[in-house]
Amino acid sequence: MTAILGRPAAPAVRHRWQERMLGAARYEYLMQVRRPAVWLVVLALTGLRASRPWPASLSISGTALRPLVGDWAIDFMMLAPIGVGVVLADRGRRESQLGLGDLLGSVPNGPGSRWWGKAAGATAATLTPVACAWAVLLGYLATQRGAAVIPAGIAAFAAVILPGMLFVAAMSLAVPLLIGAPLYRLGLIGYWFWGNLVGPRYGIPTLSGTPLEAIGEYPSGAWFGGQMFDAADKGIHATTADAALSIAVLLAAALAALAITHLVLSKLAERSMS
Amino acid sequence: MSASFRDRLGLEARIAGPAALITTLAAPAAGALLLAILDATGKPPADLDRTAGDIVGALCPLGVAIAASSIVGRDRGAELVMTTPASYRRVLFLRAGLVFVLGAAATFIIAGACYALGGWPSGQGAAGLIMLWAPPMAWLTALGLLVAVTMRSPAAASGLVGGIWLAQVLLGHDMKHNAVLRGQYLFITLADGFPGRDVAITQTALLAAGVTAAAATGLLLARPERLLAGDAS
Repeated sequence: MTAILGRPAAPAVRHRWQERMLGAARYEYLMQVRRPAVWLVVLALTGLRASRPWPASLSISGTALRPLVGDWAIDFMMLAPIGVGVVLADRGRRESQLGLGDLLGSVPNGPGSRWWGKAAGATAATLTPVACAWAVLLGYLATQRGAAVIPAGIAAFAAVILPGMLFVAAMSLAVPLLIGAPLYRLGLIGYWFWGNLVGPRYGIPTLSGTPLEAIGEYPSGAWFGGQMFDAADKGIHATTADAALSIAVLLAAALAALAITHLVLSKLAERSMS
Repeated sequence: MSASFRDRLGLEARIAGPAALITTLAAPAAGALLLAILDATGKPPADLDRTAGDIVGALCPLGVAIAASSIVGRDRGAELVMTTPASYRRVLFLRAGLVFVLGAAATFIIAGACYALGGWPSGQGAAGLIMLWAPPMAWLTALGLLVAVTMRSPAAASGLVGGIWLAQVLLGHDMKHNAVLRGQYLFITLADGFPGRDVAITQTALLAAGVTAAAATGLLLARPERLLAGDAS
């Protein structure tokens, strides 16, 4: 018909998978970053922790620069991941709760690209206030100790803060699909306390002090000379290999959680179509 | 209890959702399991006593608070209810009350079991069966509801309640030894070395803060339409 009328044919809508994923990621980012709860929770928890840095002997002027930055990164990780996980826990089920599953199933964007777009966009948005809070803390440290704080702080963000945050974010997107957001939030707080803050000295079997902990103690100790508070109970001082193993385990677990969820969502979508 | 009221409670429990009810029971259940494992693996009685106190006085109140705040914003019929003579404030408080009573009953049962079996924190008598958990549970639940209604977001409520709970665990030493902060220290009953008068003052202050937060939530719900644009979970 278009040829008869002499009009050019409409271009076929054949976006590649990456383009569809990036489109979903962009939209998820904008939705999440505009939620007041994301900013309030992450900034409030960071402020709460920053009100009383740990350990009490930690001195801005009397501690060497890299250990100081490493210990601040660990302090930062004590509460902020809870905020990240809690505000991400309702993202996975959002569309189905709003009754949009059938509508989204009718568009070319399949469940895989939507899922990875959601994971990338929502995680990036939730880490935006985290990065802002860390930048403010680094700015304060820089006024006290000079500009050398900035590169050390960026390195600490990448090595100490980011792996644990990505692990928590991936779990917070995937696990609530199975058990619901409220139970996951309680479980996350319990896990964070038990697996990262309760050291072996309390007599309860725990992940704290092992390379499986997500708080970043191993990279902080190995690469920044930060205090090994729980690992020291086990007589461990992390080496570069230990720190790399700790980061690799966290990232692999995050990737596995997202990939398994992708497979399950794809199977469910296929079943609903048949 | 009349049959119609029983039906109403069943209906409200279904609207509150299985996630809220399971969450409120999860902490006592997980606590009982942990105690059984510790006992079976031969942990010293002192560890068991302390862990029992932590579960009853700290973990159970957190579970109830997160569960209660999760009911805000999940009612798809809220707009319809608001067009009827029924008070939505009363409806929401009834649902939150259901979650609270269920969690309180489960906590009391696990506390009673620990007390009867002799795994009870030192210095806690029979009064601890209630006072160990009731003040922090009231404080955390009321604060969670207030934040959830104010922000229209259970996520914000869970994040702030969980963060404050964990911050009080981490900063416990500072809070205990500051005369002002001690008044809102959730775990004063578990702390050693404080005279009974100080503990009673803090317990009263926690309950008073909980009642104040619940009253503020009630005032906000005088305009329940503020909930209509909230988060879905």
